[in-house]
Amino acid sequence: MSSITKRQFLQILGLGTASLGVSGLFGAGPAWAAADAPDWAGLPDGAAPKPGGKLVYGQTYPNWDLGTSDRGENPYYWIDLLTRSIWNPLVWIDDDFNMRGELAQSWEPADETLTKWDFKLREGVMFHNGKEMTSQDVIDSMRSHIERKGSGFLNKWVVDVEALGPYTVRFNLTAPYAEFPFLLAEYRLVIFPSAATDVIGFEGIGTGPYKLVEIDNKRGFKAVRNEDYWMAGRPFADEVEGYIVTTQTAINGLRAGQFNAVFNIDPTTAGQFEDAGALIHRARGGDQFLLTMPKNMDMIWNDVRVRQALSLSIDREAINTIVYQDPGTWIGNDSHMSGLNAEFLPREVALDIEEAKRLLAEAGHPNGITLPSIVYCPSFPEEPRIMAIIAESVKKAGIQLELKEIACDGFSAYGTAVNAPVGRPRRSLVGPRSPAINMGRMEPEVGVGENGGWAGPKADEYKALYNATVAEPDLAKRTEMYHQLQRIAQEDVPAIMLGGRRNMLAHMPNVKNLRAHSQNWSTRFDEFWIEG
Amino acid sequence: MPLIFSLILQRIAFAALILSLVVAIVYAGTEILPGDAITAMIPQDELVFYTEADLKALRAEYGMDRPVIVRFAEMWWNQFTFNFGTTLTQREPVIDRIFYPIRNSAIMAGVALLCMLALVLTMGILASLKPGGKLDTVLSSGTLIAYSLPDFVVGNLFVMFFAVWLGLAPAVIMINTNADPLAVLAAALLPVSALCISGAAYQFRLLRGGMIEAMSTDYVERARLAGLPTWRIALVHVLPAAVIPMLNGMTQFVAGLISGTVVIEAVFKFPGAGIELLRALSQRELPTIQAIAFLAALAVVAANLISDLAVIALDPRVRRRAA
Repeated sequence: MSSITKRQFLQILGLGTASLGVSGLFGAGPAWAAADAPDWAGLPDGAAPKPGGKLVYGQTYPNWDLGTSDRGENPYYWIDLLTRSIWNPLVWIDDDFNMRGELAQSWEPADETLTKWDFKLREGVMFHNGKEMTSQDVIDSMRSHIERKGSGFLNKWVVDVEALGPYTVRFNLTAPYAEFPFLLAEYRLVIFPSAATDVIGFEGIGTGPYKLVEIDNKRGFKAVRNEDYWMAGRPFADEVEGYIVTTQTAINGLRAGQFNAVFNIDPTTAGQFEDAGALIHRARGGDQFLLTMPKNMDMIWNDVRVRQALSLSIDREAINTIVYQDPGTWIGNDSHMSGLNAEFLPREVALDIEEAKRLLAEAGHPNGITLPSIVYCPSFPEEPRIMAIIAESVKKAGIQLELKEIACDGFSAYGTAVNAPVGRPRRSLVGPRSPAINMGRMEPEVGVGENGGWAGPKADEYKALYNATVAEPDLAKRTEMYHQLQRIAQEDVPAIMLGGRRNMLAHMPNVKNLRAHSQNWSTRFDEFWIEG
Repeated sequence: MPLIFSLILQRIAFAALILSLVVAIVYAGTEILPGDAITAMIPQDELVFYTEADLKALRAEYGMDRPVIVRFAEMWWNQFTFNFGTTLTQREPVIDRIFYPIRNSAIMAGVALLCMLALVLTMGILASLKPGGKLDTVLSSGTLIAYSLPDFVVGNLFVMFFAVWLGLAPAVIMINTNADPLAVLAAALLPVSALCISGAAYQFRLLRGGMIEAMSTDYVERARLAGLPTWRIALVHVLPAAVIPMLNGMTQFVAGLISGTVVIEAVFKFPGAGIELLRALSQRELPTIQAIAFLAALAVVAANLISDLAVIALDPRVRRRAA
């Protein structure tokens, strides 16, 4: 192997130093002082943030886990309420899919094997309990995440975490992983202060811009400004409150002046929010809907032709046009890859009812077919309308499919309560992520809950190619390999991806610089301010 | 006196019997009818995910492999001793899950009941003083309209008018489920008012009718001729007799109040038992559903018992029949 420098190696990985934040490590720029805001956290030109005020937001994304949990102080139950007000992971992904150092100042692979990654932590980061964050907190946090299976990826890839110094940790991986740092931006992988194994993470203590004051698992939370936040001068508002509400309650609350922002609004109600005086912010993308079809037992869609027919008969463009009023945007290609990813491979054929009928006839169902019902919960208020469009469009190919709505509160447990480890036929939510994570979610072993127990030659091919892809240091080669993975998924249809959805925020005009993020959990609370 | 006691004991025994019947109906509905509580929790088309061994293990886990009569006796005893078991999803005691929601709903419904009684008595007496007069016409027409409006319409109108336009009360109740009772009381202003409006309408009509009827009786005429002031005749001589039909309608009112709270809580996001019941229904949380159904029935039966006892106290004819 020819000798290359670390910088060249990182560039080959496609993880440019600017987005990695490694400039400090290599002496290309000044290392950040612990309390300085990183350059990615800059405010818009001409911004003059006002300190004080209170953000009270409604969140129409209903209880996913929080309502059935009695541990609301734990971030695992906070995706409903938007985690980053209280906690921070090591890494943040911005809306353009650049990696940004959050509690990590910089990172690099320890060598060219890509099985050891070193992270330099920010110094001077204080937990809400007044303790400074050190390597040991990161190590204990990651060990607790592994023990609690906070992220399947962490368990798959990380053997252990070790301290290289008070502010430097090393992640030892099971196999080469060129995009590993992206993984540490996952919403559950936040950093807690070290504590006993049974307590760590359950004290409501993080490093985020706000300190948790109280939480009602089924309703909402209150938090106050963290005076010792690691970004100097942030956050701007004194208090943040968040409440889980229905669309109608959110509109009423906004009209009555009780809320000054509402996250994840139904796109078709944007006009009502605007009538109430709100401004709308659309993220570039959002959580998507994935239909999981268990194949680990005797099911009619074990025949790949049935799955192909189902996918070909879903009018995804109608969903984008009718529900999102956003015709022409990307549609799902039956992999987890998002249209926001540069590696996304568009479908060659979006909708083909005749081909769907032909496939069904070939599979022995010339007069149509009735599929097992698929359960979903209306995590986003527009979802029931989307499901209605699906049910109607597949009928044109002779497919009867009931999409059954149940409550979001407890849906997660309900979906996996039977048929372990796959669970019921259900709709999963898929937030946009790095290509390695996206494609890893369909990997036969890790993604068993979402790929429905996908098996067979195509699944084997996918698995082998996936492992080779994430180990490939060359970005161009990796991209082509990602394309091939998407072709395999589209051909064998382990699950069905709808695609095209955007997260949307309604906020009153005096709430400045609060933005919807394509990843719900990556919404930041250290950038906004309240005027007037 | 012993006869009165006997009458009261009869009513209490009857209340206990009614409550037992409710438990039996809920039990039959969830555990005896085709299928059982396990299959009731599992939709028909999802039984495919369960082997017979899975179902057998579940039945053993929930004690459903024991004789029906044993399970009913156990359920009866548990319900009457407020031992509602644990939830299916989180395995937390049901009583912990529903305590605060029940308390909050009780506060809201209790205050609504008291406000409604004060409102009804005031309106009923005033309207009956001059039947067909302007005040009576306004009150009768108004209550007829209010009676015709569904709870969710009243709730949303209140939100728009009092919260959004006038800003007098919150449109969304944001207190915690375990908030201080006084905070719950303060937050419940608009929901209580909404509940009163629809509840008061029917009770007003009952009281007004009773008052007008009693006002035309001989003994009232004699009282007038004796020179007693109208207010005294109305309050002291007419009201005790006129209130009896209203008391008989109290059970229906309390039942309506309970169903109304489910709707009103959803409109205002009030942290009460109604929202908890909807949540439990959607989650197929049978122990929680059974507990809330029992407590709701208990409230109705208790209201019926109290109104029965009040009728016994107010109506000499009932006491004479008992004698």
